[in-house]
Amino acid sequence: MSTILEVIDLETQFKTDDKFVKAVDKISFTLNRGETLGIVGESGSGKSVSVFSIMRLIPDPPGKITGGKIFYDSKDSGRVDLLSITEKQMLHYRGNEISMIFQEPMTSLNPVFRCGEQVVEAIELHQKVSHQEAKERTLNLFNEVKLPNPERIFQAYPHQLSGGQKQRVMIAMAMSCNPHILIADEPTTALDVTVQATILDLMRQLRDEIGMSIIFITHDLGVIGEIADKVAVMYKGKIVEQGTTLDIFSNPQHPYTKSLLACRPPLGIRLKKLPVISDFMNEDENGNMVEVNASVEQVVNSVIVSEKETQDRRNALMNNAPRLRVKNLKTYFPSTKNFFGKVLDWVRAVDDVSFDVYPGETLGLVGESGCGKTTLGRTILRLVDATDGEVIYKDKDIFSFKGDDLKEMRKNMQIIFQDPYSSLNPRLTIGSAILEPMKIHGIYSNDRERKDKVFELLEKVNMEPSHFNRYPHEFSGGQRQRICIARALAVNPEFIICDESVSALDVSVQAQVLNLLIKLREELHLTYIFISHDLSVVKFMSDRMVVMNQGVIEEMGPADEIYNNPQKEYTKKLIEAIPKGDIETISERAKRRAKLLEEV
Amino acid sequence: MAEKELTSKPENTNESKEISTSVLMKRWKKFKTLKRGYYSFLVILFFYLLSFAFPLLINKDALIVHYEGEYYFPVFQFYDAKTFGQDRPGETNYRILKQEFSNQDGDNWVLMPLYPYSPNENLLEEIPGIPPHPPTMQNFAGTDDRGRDVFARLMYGFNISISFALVVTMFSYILGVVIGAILGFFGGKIDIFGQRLIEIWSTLPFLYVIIIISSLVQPNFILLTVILTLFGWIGITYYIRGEFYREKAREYVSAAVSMGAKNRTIILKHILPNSLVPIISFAPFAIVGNISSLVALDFLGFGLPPPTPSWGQLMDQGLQNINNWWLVTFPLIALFLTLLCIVFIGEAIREAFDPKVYSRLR
Repeated sequence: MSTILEVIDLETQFKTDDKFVKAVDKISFTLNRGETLGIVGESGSGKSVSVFSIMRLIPDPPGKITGGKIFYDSKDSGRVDLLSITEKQMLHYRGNEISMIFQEPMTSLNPVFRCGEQVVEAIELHQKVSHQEAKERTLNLFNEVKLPNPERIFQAYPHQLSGGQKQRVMIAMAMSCNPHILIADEPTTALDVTVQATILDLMRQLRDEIGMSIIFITHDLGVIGEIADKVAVMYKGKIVEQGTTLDIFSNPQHPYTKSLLACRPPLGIRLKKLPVISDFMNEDENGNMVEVNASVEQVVNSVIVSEKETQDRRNALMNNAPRLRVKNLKTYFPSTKNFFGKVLDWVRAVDDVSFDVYPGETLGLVGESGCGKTTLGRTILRLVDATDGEVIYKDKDIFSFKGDDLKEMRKNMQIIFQDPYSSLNPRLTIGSAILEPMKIHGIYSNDRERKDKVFELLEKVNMEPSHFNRYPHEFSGGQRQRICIARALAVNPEFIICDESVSALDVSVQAQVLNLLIKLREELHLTYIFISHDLSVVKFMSDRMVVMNQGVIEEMGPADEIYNNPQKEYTKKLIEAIPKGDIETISERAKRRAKLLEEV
Repeated sequence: MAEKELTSKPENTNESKEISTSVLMKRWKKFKTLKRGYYSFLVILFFYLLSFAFPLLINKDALIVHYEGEYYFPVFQFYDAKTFGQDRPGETNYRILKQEFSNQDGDNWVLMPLYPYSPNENLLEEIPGIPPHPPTMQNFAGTDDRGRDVFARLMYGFNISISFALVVTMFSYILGVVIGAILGFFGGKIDIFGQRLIEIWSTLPFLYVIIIISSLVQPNFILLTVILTLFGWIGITYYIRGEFYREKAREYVSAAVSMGAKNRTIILKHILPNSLVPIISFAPFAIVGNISSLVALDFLGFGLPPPTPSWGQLMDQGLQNINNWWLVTFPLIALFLTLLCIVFIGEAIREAFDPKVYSRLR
């Protein structure tokens, strides 16, 4: 096995206001021909910056590569240091020998050009072929990346494709010049778990057939286990642990690696709360790491819940009268209208859905994007108008509410949204954002009392009272999501809908927010509807689970039962798609890969 | 404990010691670092504030007259020529009075303003020859074809131009924001009909309306403000309507709705502050546009009534007396410098408000 890429002491800095921040701090790694390297770490750990540095795509200013060497072993021109060649020479490698796919398939294709033309352009840029040849090659590539009906996709505009299809087009584009290295920057993070599984499958296949090297970046160690041969774990700009995937999974050394392994919602067992980073490491006042001596098993075993406890809890919950009853709910959107605006056809986003939610319970709602789960949540809260059906909250029909009743309902039922970046008004301080709902509903007599309550809420969601006068842009995604939770709690609601509330977060942060939600549920006797596309998260959170597909309920029942004994094909598909990260699969795959790599 | 981990990151603890800044404060700070725009802003602001004190600085009336043991303040009160023993009808000419007093060698004295000429005063009595007179040490920029001091007219014209532009911009912004917000927030039928009405309104030919109105009544400051406002708000609604459409789909608005907030709160507190960026960056250019409009109207003779000191009217004179270079040059320089400064301000505001950092990807 020969080395294709060698990174030595790479250092990249960013200028913020007056100081320089090291985004990448002297990292070194090697990539062999045909090998797949996974780089894993939370957002802000410098994993993306390090590969952008390899491509020399660091925006300058404010960024600058300040040190190190990146040796690339090219088949034609031998060993070159990518950092010392001119920009013009770099053009030969970028996109041609080293190509890249990005996180956001929604924005990385140009919306005004047809998908096919964009791939043709990439081919013509680097290879001297006729337009017709380039077109043929594009269609072949579309076939290779298993796009259904390549001719149609060739003519389609990006907005006409689904997220998974767009990512396939991006992969086809990246593959178009037969690159030696493919850099994939969180290629599956924006996708549903099921689509992620198919994309990973495709990448594995292409890699084995073509024998290219891949650098795969993700925040999810589970995904790494599915695809990588070796892993580099990044934390605060440094690589804290490197090794083969099997080693990392079976015998993690660094506490951060351990916590990444432990914080994914487990599948076979039920936990009280998820292990988080602080179960494995802490920081002292000077920012130095203090290791907690614990293995993954120890931590996980300390929070495990027995089956009997689960059973008891469920029985206790079901003894009460349902708090929310959804009966034959339908929400349709017009899809085609005739000349006079009469609706000819409807999109049945929610089609005849019925279920009950008991007080104190968490009802999980799982399904792929577009299955209607978000619309269902919004319809219940009357953020979207229902077409037909009833939602009964404590024996009252929600759809009949007007004026004060509606206001009272808005107080009792709250929602936490998916995107922590857009769900806070950027012009309001954290304090006034949390204060506002109390003011609207006249909770407490004056602002001083309300302010005290805000402090209390901030502490409850593990933020500091000193954050009161700060603005949303100063916080990370996980912190913002906690602020949103505090805002929802400000009116003392009984019922909260969590609409993909953790889907935009890193796994390690996701664990913290999920634990917080569970803690609050116990303390404040809240009832949740928890919506997500990731069955593992829903299973961890909920007592009962509803599987939705194309607007209808596929399956409903206790969460563990559905996981252990799925009845419908669709549910099986959802379970199948979750990256398991179990050691047997990984070691088996490693053996097979070792053989393949030797042939290379 | 577990979740504390995030908040106790070192960069966050450092930050919490600093004073938290709102988005607007951040932009203002950024604006201050853009020297060209910031200094232009200070210069314009200084001169505009100063221009309200022009009656004390540029005036034919004396500040203080000491005459036979008594003090008079002609700037604030009218005295006819006889009061100070001047043998002429009507108003006192204080410049001549000052001359006389210094010749008399008595106890009487006159304190004149820094530049002792008024914009609407005819100097034929003191300066021999046929107007326009070329610049001299006394009259920096010469006189116009009626013997009025050009420098004084330019200075007073500055105040009028800027005031006019500010007032028009403010009113057209208010009108545009209100209408745009209503269209954007409520959408649907209101939006469709509102838009069509705006389209009809915007096809009215602005110049003809002005010409027709000014042929019926003599335009004055208020009437011109009203007319320009009525035609100036349309562009603003497009921006605001678009911004409202975009912002109302954001989740923080959904969050406010699910909190039970009223439409009024949502519009004023949540959406409006987030949709002002494009029109704030546009404001300096709107002001430039309105200054130019006034100049153009004055130039064509449909503007402010004579003898208001206006730049457009001076330019008109420059055109008619093209051989008298000072009548052409000085108004142009004044207009050029003013517009240049405001454009610099606009450029800096745009940069301060533009979230994009202009850097290259390689």
